[in-house]
Amino acid sequence: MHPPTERRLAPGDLVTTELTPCVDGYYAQICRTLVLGEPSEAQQRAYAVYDEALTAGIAAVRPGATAGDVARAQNEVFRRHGLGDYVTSEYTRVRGHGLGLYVDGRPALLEDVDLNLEPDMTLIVHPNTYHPEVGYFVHGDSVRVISDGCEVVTRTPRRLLSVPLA
Amino acid sequence: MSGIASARAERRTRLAIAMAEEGIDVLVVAGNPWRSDYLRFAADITPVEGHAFAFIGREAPARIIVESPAEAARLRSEQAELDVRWSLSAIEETETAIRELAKQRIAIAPLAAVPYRLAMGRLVASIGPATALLDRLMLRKSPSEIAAFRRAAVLADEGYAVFAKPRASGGRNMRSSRKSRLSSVPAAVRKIFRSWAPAAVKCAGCIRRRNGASRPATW
Repeated sequence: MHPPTERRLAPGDLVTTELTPCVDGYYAQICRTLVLGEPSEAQQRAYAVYDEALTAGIAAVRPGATAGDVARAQNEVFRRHGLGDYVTSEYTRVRGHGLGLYVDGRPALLEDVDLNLEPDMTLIVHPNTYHPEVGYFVHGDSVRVISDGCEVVTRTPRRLLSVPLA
Repeated sequence: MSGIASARAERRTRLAIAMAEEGIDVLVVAGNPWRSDYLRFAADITPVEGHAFAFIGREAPARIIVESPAEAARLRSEQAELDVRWSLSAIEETETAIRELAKQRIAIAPLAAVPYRLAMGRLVASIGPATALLDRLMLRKSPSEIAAFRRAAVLADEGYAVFAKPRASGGRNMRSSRKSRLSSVPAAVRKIFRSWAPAAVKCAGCIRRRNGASRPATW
């Protein structure tokens, strides 16, 4: 992510989106990244890591797990791929957060947060961070904690979208 | 009942039950434009200028203290049943109002928005904490809150689909959709915007005069 400049979009650019609508006072969020033109092999490899991390994070969301467990599940994927440095505070902030009346609410999904998840909590799980080979990548879904795990409420397919340049 | 009204009623009921369980007679909730979610939960108000304080009893409608007449007018127009007052020294007025409730059990929240004078001042020994109580209620959503969250998620999906399309066609569609969003602001909201203008001018005059005023509070 970077400030707006005069630079024109070019093939291979990543377009990151955190879209956070508010309806009747309540926020949900979706994070997706798309590529202008055909994704490179490096972009596809990077995407696979973020998708694996998001899947692991969502699988960790259940009553009794802590916010830290969800963050750790995502970060372990990055560590396994040799990207552990990029899940530290030097490159990223949180691995997701609560949603509701506030856009960035409790709990913060960080490894040292021991708040227990309970049914009907609402969160965004997003392993968003910088990737040394391709740049900043966002990927995340809104979830609701339910009695036996979690329900993913955003439905946009998880894939590295590719759109042609005009 | 609309989604907003239904969620508001559920929040109010849950809060009253929690206050009774904790033995709280009056809950004072602070907020400001940067941190308004606790105020929205407790009283369904969102300050856009200055401090705002809500006095929540278990039964009666909330009493609100804000810092400007424009804020007061806006909140009254949003919820006619609210008792809204304004004062240029809203923190001091809130302290006075808390003192007048001396025999009742008072709690205040959230720590992230309570001004120093109220959080650490003379009344601190007589006010209980309520941030954890509100956090508990706000973390676990009610059915109406979940329904609103779902509607927002649907909008996120639809919005991303719209976002992804114009990238392929040079962005013209993106500009069109933005224009159409602006023109779809409801007439009622535009009317409120227009109604703020005179109050805002008056408020600016009050603020210009405040340096010379010995006690600028206006109830």
